[in-house]
Amino acid sequence: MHVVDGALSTSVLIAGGVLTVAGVAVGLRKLDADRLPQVGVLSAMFFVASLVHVPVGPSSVHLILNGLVGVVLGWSAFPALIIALLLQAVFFGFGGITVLGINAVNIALPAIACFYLFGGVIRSGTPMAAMIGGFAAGACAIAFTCVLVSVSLAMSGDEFLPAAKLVFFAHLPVMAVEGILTGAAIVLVRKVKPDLLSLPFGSPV
Amino acid sequence: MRLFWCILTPLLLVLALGISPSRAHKVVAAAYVEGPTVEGEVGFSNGDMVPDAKVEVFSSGGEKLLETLTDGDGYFIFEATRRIDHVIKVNLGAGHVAEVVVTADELPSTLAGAPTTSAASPTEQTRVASQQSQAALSSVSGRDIEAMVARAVAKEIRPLQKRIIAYENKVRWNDILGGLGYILGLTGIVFFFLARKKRRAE
Repeated sequence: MHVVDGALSTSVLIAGGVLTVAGVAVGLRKLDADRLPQVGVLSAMFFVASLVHVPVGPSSVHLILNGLVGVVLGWSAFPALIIALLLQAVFFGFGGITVLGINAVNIALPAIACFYLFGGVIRSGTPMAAMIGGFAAGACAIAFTCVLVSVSLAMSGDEFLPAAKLVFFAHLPVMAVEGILTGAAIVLVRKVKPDLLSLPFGSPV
Repeated sequence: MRLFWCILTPLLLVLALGISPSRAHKVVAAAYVEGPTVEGEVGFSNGDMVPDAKVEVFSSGGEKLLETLTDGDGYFIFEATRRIDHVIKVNLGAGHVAEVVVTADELPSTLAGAPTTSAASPTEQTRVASQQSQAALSSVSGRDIEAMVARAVAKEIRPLQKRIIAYENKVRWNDILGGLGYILGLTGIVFFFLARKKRRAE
């Protein structure tokens, strides 16, 4: 899911960079000291999750877990993800420095979308509804990311539909795995540590 | 306590799923020149080779020269017909791209150069001609030796490549711990600034 250096055109890279700076600024403004440990833990989780690979055909895809990061952190997902993405680029060679911005947008925007779509039901629904909401958040975040990656490849000259199909079908197993993981994580967190979901929905802090 | 879990949780996640962190999927391509023949391989950074991948070759100006497929072991081969820079591109889709450049001076001087450089000065032409005639005298043995050396070196390098991959896998664990340390440290720095802001406000 991480686009590498040299795969995208300059205009796409600049657009990604600008959007990322804006997103990180919003995320940092909405961040307070009480929720900082969550940001750190989820950033660390995202950083390591990318090493869990699901083999698909000749290639392999890895977990992203941006749905979980999004529903818990809201806008603060942006700073959490940008740090982890930077470290992944430096340490593992996933993505790259020039594509950092566009990768952050492709992964963080779906996370924030999932916060607005499923954050309410995850926080205040019945346990069953919260689990389904968690599953939907985990799966939809990947699907949105697939679409955004295909769009950024398309704007750099790749054909949209074949690229989108390839990315989407390769990530079907990831959607299933992340849906289940996110759903289970939400149910567990609501039971044992409800204040992890303390981010009030409706007026996202 | 939170800091403790901060480090432990992600590590447990990887361990619990029992997945080695070595399956990075960066595309790696390499090309070697033997006479006019360019041989190369396409693989992932974990050592897996990529069969049936489309390999496209462009001139430095972006003109497409040819395309070929990798064989069952991820190797490809093509003949250079001109002595120009060859940009070899592999695109496995979804942003998995790799690029290798075979420069003109790696290719034998017997090949025709790029159209613009073919009009060499007369002295240069005669020099090339004399070099060619000299080369023709010893070409049979020279070629053979070159091919033998290339093969022997490739054979010797292979175990080293394997050891490098094993080493990289080991280093990866250090990288994971290093990355988690960075996240921990950055969280601490942000804490510091937030606390200072709060104290000023009070």
